[in-house]
Amino acid sequence: MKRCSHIMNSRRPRSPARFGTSLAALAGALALGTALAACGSSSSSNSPSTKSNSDVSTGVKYAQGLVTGGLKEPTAPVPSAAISNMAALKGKTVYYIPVSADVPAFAITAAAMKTALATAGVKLNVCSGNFTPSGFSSCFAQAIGAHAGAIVSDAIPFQITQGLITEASKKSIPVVVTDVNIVSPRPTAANITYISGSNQQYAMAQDWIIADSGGKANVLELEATDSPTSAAGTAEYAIPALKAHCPGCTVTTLKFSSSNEQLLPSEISALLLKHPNINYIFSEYDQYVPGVMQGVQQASATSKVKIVAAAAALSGLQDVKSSTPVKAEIADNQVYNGWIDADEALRLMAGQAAVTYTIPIRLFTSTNIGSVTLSNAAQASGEWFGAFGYQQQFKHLWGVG
Amino acid sequence: MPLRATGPRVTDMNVPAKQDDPSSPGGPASQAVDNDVAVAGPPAGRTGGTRHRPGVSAFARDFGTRTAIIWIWVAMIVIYTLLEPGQFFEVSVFQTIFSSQQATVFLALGLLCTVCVGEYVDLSVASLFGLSATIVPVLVVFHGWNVVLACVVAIVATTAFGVVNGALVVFVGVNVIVVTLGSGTLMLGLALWISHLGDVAGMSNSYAGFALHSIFGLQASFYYGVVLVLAFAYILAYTPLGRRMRFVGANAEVARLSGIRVNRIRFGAFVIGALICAVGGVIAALSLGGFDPNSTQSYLFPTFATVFLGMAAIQPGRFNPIGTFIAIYFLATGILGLELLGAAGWISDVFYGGALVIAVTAATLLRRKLV
Repeated sequence: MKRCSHIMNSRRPRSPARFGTSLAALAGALALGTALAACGSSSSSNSPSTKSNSDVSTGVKYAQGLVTGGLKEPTAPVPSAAISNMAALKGKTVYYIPVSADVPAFAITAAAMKTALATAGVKLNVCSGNFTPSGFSSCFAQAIGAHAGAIVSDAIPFQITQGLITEASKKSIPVVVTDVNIVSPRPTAANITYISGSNQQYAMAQDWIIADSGGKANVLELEATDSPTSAAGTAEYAIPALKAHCPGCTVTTLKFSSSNEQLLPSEISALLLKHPNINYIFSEYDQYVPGVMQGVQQASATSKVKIVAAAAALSGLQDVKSSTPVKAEIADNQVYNGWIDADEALRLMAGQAAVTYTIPIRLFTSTNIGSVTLSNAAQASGEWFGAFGYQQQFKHLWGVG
Repeated sequence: MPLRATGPRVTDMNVPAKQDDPSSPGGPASQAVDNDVAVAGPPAGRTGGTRHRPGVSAFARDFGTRTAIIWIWVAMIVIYTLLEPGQFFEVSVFQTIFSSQQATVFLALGLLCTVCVGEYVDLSVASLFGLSATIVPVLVVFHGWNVVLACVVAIVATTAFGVVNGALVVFVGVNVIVVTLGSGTLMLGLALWISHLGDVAGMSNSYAGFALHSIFGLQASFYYGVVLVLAFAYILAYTPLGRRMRFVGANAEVARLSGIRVNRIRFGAFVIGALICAVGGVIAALSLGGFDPNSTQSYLFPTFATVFLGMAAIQPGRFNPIGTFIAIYFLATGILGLELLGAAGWISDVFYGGALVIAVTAATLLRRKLV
């Protein structure tokens, strides 16, 4: 081991003093890092507002009502307007471009969309954005070059791809932009439509926190800053929902990027040390729960902190069942997402107006986790959300079932 | 550490072509290594070739050099304590620091195995760790296996990749970067495949006690790391195997001429390195109740950072387990302190990256001064 450095040796003597000087530079760098720390604050804390007990009680009752409803199997609403001229769409190909096909939720959506479109004789081609702008561009170029019947862009910030969306639109290729926070300015045209992400799941998580804490929660809210949509999930939906109905709650926000996800555990543990009264942590994405759990463990806070996450996958529900600090998870129906993406694409391809949808979500806690099957097959089928009648209703709208 | 100034270095030795027992005390291998280690103190050329005992000032300088990073660590703690009165210098903070680095300790020691025999760039360590950590919950949660059996299978399967890596690098002669980059990517893909692309969770919380139960206020996983580091340091410093490893790392060709079975040592380093990573992965999976293979690559940079920063401690300019161990907690302290100050994530990256570059630069400068 000691010899590793001696292959490139010289005959000059070692100079401890010089090495010490070099290490002094290291100390200087550390001091610089400390000074820089003042430049950026990742957390902010808000004190509870001075509201009366009746305000707290009202908020708790309101939240309890929503939680009770959220635990049940949700309904899956289907539009009323049928699609005409479906025969002309047979043989066309829809390009589905998720931000990354490696995310299990998008794989489920893709499979559901493929099944849905196949009933109408339309093919599906999946092109992964691979989390990179060049990947998005490549997929859009591929779809445009192949004269796709339609393009479905999933969870890709349209601020990055607006030029490509416009180009596709001008070439008469309809574009469905889904799983985004819809803000202006954005590309608009008759053959471009937007489907919002299921933002109500972020509010549902806050409702559960309010109900579970009796209106006295100290919540650490994780805000992923990777995209405008991810940032909005916490900043525009979760935190406002908590503040609106829980005057006795405090909020501490941790902004982080998935590019430094490896630091999430230490950031969590640092905040738990800094704010020892934190007793709830909300993660807008289930995928960050392992990092959150690690941080909670490092701070030896597993017995006092409850974790709640949205965008739940199988692992999150298994955490709930395993009596870990993860006490609640909210999932949206990815299979339903596949069917509405298909429906919207078919409408635009048929030259009809776009419609709006309400994506079913469900809250999972120890109360109802025993009633669902926790397996990859169950997740992929969408059975966690109840009956599949909506699929037949969509087929009926399309005149194929 | 002896403070000798004279004696031939490994590269200058007229090593016999064949030795009966190169690892025996006083044997050629031992002599070569020891001579090469003996680099502190005034140079022979300035003393007319006579041996001189180092003075007090030389000893102080040497001591200061070896422990400099520890003094910086102490200074950092003092600074953070002053900047964050009533918040940083708390038992809970140090419990957090020392309970948070189990994965990095095992990964760094796994990497150190190959680094010590001269294979500096094993890019597969994080994937070895991740594959092992993924196999356990996949077998337990998805397939209902017994957890002990799942752990054994995870360790065996992961170590098998170390065997393949070692065989390709050592016996076939494929470039280590190519082999480990390729196998690391392969293992990541396999882990994603068996986990259905995502996080696998749902193992009983009772298994976490294996890593998380408290011993004198610190989690058990910390002590596993301590035992591993001490064992590694002992083997490296005081056993024939350790001397052979150091000799091979210093100069494989001279080691071969001395009669050491160089390829066997290099191959064994890959296998043992993979075994250590696999065990680390199993402990991580048990403590978390699952694992997300997508997070695997995030372990790679901290591993290299700590191993290279470890060169700045205890045996400056040389890879060593104790120095690596200190570097791990040195960095953990720095980052946690910054986070307690409210630093944004990018500040931590600046700290991590900056500390690594400066430390390695310092170690490189030192190397040029050696002997």
